[in-house]
Amino acid sequence: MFARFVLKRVGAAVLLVFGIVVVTFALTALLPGDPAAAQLGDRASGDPAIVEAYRKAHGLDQPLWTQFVLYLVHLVQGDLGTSLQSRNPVLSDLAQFGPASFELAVTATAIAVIVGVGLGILAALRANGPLDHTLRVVSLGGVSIPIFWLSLIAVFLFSTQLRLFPSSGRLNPGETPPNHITGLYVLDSVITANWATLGSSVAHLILPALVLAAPMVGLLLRFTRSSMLEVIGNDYVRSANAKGLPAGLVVRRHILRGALVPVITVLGSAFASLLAGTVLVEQIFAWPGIGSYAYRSASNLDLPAIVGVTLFVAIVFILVNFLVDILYGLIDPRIRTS
Amino acid sequence: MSLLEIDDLTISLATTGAPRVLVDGVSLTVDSGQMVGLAGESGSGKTVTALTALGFVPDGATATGAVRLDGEDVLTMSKKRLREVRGTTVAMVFQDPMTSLHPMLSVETQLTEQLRVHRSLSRRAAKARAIEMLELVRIPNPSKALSAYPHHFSGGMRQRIAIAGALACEPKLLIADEVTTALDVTVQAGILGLLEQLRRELGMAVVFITHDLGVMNVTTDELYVMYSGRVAERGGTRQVLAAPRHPYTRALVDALPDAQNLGHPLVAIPGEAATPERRPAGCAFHPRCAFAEDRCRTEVPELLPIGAGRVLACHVDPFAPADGSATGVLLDGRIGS
Ligand SMILES: Nc1ncnc2c1ncn2[C@@H]1O[C@H](COP(=O)(O)OP(=O)(O)O)[C@@H](O)[C@H]1O
Ligand code: SF4
Ligand SMILES: [Mg+2]
Repeated sequence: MFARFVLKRVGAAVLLVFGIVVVTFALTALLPGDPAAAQLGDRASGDPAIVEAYRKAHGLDQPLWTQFVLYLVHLVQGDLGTSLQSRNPVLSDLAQFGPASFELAVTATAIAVIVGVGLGILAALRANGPLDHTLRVVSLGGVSIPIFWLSLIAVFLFSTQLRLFPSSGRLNPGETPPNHITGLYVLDSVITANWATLGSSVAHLILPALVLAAPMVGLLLRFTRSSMLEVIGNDYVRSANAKGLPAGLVVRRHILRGALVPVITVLGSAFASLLAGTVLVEQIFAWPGIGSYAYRSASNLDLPAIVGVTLFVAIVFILVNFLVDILYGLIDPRIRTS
Repeated sequence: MSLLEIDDLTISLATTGAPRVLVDGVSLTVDSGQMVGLAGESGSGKTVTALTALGFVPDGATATGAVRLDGEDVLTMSKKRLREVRGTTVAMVFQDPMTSLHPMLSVETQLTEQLRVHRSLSRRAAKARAIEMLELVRIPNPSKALSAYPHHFSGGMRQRIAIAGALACEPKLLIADEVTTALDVTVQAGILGLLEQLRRELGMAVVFITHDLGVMNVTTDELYVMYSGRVAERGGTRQVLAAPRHPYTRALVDALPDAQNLGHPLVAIPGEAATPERRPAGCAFHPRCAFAEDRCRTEVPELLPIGAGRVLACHVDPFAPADGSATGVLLDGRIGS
């Protein structure tokens, strides 16, 4: 049963990825401006023979669908073209900047889930008390204060004034990164038992991750609270209490399980806005990740890089939603068995 | 000492205006092994009254009087003690099995968790006991049913599972609140028969709550009829149904379908049921009562004995027998079997 459910989701995800590939192809093929000219630079593109040779070499003289097949073949081989500004294959750029963003996004998400869901549970269990009112303000602040502002305030307060955390980069200038194993500095420092680097990488990670997590905390807090309150009023919770189960067990097993389903469904869209936030946060904190790379590519009209980033982000997003679906099915038997 | 003694229970909600009285001076006794019925239109306070037996009082409401379970007042019990008696001394089955079972927990979890908590049974022992319970309520293929979820079962089967869960720790008192109301008529009889059988086999006491006197007749020894948070009359179920003394009970019985008017529209009780917000002064039933006199509008009738173990709250008592016997005017045999 569950295997079939998972298989169906995998199918849907693969289809979605294919859709994204078509869209990115359309983006490159149909955009005004000659890619040959862009790739070759001014001098070479002035020479029709060179342009012709280039077009032939890259299949640009073929009909559109042949170009598409060619594009697919390249994709499958991991060939995303060469970035105009870095002069590196886009794939290796992505491999270089991806882990930094991944580390940031995963940390922010973990903070948001733990803090947001945890506070949401507390708010619901103490509904309409002083704690609940305070948390309502926190949640409102989280979702409504622009990330840009929050970053500046965080840097000013914790970095400039209190000097608790550094405000830019992944490590101090001149510090050597830990051996590349996963590309996640925190994890790699642990694996290589490099404690000094661990401290430094954690300190660098905290501020941007917190800022990035803030809107998601607000969203999850509000959602968890309302969802919990809705479930608490359910008959099945009264049944559980009527059985004389300990209060903690009723909350954990009976209330939370019902309340988490809607919370998990917003996780996917919350993650999307978090990805959007990384562009800004990486810029502000000089975090060398995909967000900064995307920003540079966009400002330089670096088409291969833009397409690469688009593909990458779309696939990450589809993957996250796939995981959310699976989680959803794990929690609610009605979804996986019907 | 009776198993359950509800003594002058009043439950009121403090509101901005006058307090809303949900239950007004109700007394009710259930002896070990006895099956007691609680009837009355929807909103008359049956559920709120019964829930106090488990120590549940609506949010924001205060309860006065006493609710003694096995001699202990649940209204003053510690939270810890309350959780101990719930499920073990007293258990409850609710109206709608579509919502009273947790949709995301397996039948096994919902049948074994109380055994694990109250009896400290091992997982295996609890599972064995759960299978026993499912056999008792006649669920086919119990070990397979354990790994299923509520949505795999029909309404009647779910109600059987809910009953199995309530009985797992062998409570002395089971409160069955409208357990047949949400079910098809054809399934109702099965559940009623099951309750009757369980009560016989397990010797437990049952409070059977329904707004439908038609199902009441089958099962209970003693019957309480409630109207607007008060007891209107009480007595042996057969006598009360065969010869109702309170005009309200009489109207309820008249509203039942019988052999003659089967398929015809029921005689509904005219007027609107009283609510805690708008409870008429005096006898709350007076706006709907054909026998109301002046003092019915001002004075609340007291519950007084009328012989043969029956009590009645009515100033007029229009159905009192002419010969002074306790039974009163007999109806035409549509009740009782
Ligand atoms: N939790 C609650 N909070 C406030 N009022 C309630 C609550 N539960 C029931 N009531 C009110 O108490 C009265 C009696 O309700 P209830 O006991 O459910 O009636 P019955 O079970 O006889 O249909 C109704 O007027 C109902 O609106
Ligand atoms: S007390 Fe009066 S109003 Fe109430 S039921 Fe009796 S006759 Fe009717
Ligand atoms: Mg009720």
